Amino acid sequence: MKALSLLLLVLLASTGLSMLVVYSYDSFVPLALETFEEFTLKTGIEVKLKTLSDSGSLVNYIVSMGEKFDGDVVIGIDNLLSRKAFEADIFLPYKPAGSENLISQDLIFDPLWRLTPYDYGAIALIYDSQSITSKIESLQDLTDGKFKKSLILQDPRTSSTGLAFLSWTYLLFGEDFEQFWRALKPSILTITLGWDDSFEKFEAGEAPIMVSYATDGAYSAHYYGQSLYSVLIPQGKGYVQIEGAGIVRWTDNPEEAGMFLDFLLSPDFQRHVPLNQWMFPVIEVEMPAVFQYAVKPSTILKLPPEVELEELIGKWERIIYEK
Amino acid sequence: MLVAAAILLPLVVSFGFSGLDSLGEAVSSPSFAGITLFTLRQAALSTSLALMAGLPAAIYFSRSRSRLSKLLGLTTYIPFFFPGISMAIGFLAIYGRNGLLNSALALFGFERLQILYSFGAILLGHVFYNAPIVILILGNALKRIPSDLLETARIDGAGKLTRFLKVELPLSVPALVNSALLIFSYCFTSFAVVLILGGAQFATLEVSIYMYFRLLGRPQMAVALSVIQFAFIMLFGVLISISERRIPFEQGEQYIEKKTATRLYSLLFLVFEWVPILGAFTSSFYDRARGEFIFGRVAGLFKGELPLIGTSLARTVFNSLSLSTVASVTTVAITFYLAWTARKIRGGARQLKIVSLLALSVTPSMMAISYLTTIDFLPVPVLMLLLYSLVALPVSLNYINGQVQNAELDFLEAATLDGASRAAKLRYMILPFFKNTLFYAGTVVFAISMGEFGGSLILGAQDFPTFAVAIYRLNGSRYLLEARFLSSMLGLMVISAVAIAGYLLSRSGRSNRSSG
Repeated sequence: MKALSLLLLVLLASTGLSMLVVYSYDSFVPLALETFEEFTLKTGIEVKLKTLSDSGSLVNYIVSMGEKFDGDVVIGIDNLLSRKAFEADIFLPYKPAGSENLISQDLIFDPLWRLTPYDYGAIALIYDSQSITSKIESLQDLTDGKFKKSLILQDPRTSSTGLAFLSWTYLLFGEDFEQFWRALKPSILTITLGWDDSFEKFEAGEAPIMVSYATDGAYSAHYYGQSLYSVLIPQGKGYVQIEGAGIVRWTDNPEEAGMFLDFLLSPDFQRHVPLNQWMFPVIEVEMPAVFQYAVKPSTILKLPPEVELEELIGKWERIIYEK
Repeated sequence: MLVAAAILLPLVVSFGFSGLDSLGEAVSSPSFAGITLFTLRQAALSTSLALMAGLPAAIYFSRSRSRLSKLLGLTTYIPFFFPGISMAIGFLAIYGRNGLLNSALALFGFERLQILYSFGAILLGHVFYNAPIVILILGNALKRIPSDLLETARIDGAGKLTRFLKVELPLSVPALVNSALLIFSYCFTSFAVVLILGGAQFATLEVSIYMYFRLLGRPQMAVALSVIQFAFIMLFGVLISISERRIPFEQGEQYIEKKTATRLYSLLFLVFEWVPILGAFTSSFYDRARGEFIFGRVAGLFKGELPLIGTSLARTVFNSLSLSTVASVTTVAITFYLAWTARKIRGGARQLKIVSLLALSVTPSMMAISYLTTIDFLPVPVLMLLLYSLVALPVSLNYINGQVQNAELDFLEAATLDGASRAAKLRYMILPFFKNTLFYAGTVVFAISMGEFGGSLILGAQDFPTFAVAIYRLNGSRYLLEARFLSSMLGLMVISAVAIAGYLLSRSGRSNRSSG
């Protein structure tokens, strides 16, 4: 096998192809399969994708591995996880070609461009409208006894969706957010390490409600011909997750990695975002018709920089593990 | 001494790197008390339930030589060899909202039950996994009670219940305590059951060690929790050793009697134990939602690389098979050497007991992180090989040592007098004599290594994923049915290997007796 790998490397060298190692989360695979080949055709650069459950675990993994981390580019760091990533100084600054086409300046992570945004979408609660017949109007409604063991959510320590949901509850409930989580605990069926695992359990019918994205109505309309999932963003006050990609500081291929980020902002990549990521693209592209079922929040909540995420997570941990 | 040092040194050094501060940080962290109390509570409850579930079957097993009793004997393989990942995924197939049980309930118009992802699911998983230990230890202890003792009690007018409470139970208290401690120890360090059937809200110390190390990027916290867990298991290990004292009577002939109630219970017990294994297997061929067989999809997974596991599925099978084979050869060689040496030196048995106790006191997750924090310059497959050998060492050592100590090897003295060299004796006499023993122990180590999950997930998930790790990743990533199919394959493969080895061993035992 080693001999084969060596042979492959020699072949790549002789054909002028180079190789990029790209890390992401599990649910990124379909989009990668649909687009990366195009990048290789255009640039001659091979891309090897590796995934690690969800973005929270991914950032923790890179931080703990340091220079031993073998990735050149990391895809899937959201606006909350970017704090940890910037603090650990994982990414090189790089402003990609096409950045002027971004639909909003609000999507930019930081002035240094250590991360390039590639999609965004609002966090929401989705529920199976066939089994949940009563109307859910607020997150507080979920603490009702009739929703016992009905909710699947993600661990905020390992999942970017989980962390976004935790931040959202803080923004909605303020200092009462601990009280809310204590009341919500009986309604939780399970907490998964990543979004993919949650969605699999939700689709298998293990629980009727899940923390996911406001675009999931579009997903269900696309796959099942009708919008099976109801989407809840209480009073339209939503939390928007922006996902970005960055060049790993220790890469040996910064030039190729930069070309890859350029590609992420190009229409060739962006037009595949809606039907694979079920998120909104960051440049203008033609949107599929099913996106009429995607809900957009009327008010976007933002977590002030002075709110310490580690402190929020610590409080959440205490509540979840207290018996 | 060397083996004991190999176990302890990485742990001590990795703790040395982390220091006392990390221990303090672990103890004062917001989740520590909750995680430790939960670990203890679930272990205590699981042990009580497993004892209750296993006791009637153990009684039947001890008083019958029927086919049912033999099947109960086969069930005792489950806790030691059936891979945790296969068991947990089998449970999803049976007890899930759309699993076999709920589908059957819905067919008869009953409400579907929410069993999985709850404290109850963890307890159910632990009872499934550990109740057979009661049959193995207590059942065999009850079997050994001399029949004349029980016959005398019967003649003296003692009814079945009185006889059980006044004669059988007091005589088997050490076995009862021994099985309770062993089950408690297993549940205390539970990994796959808690991780897959519970969810992140139910972390035990063992699961937390994995999460802090691999997912949360806090290795020092993981090391500190390992040290705390090590202290707990070491204590259980000492208590288990104390409880393993000899039963106060000579082994007698098995007392056979008809037991209708326990027979019926044993039938139900077998259903409880084997349905998640066989049911998961049979229900994993067909995707009801899409109305298609899944063989094509599974075959598709074997083609090319899967980004989820960073390599091809075929490669993970190769990784598992090659590592398990090498681990079985090296472990058997080491344990045979240890047992052979202990035979000839004073206090050898005691030394072996200490090695066995130390190996039992560490868990795969603990050893994996201690390797990664101390000897990470070694290639990952080598670290995994070390881990597998260590995990399987107690079972291999106990079995080989028992055979070596009881063997009559007078012919070796004659060979020595005839001038045979050491190498010649080893090659032409000792190894052929213990061929069956070594083969059986090797198969058992192979089976344990194939199913090892926790340590493999920490050590090799990125660089050298095994088949069990690949199944876990597929299960959490939209390949539920494929993972179920593959996990059934793994489970059946492992159980078959052990059963075939056991069968061959018993056959060769019979033919040896008949020819001798």
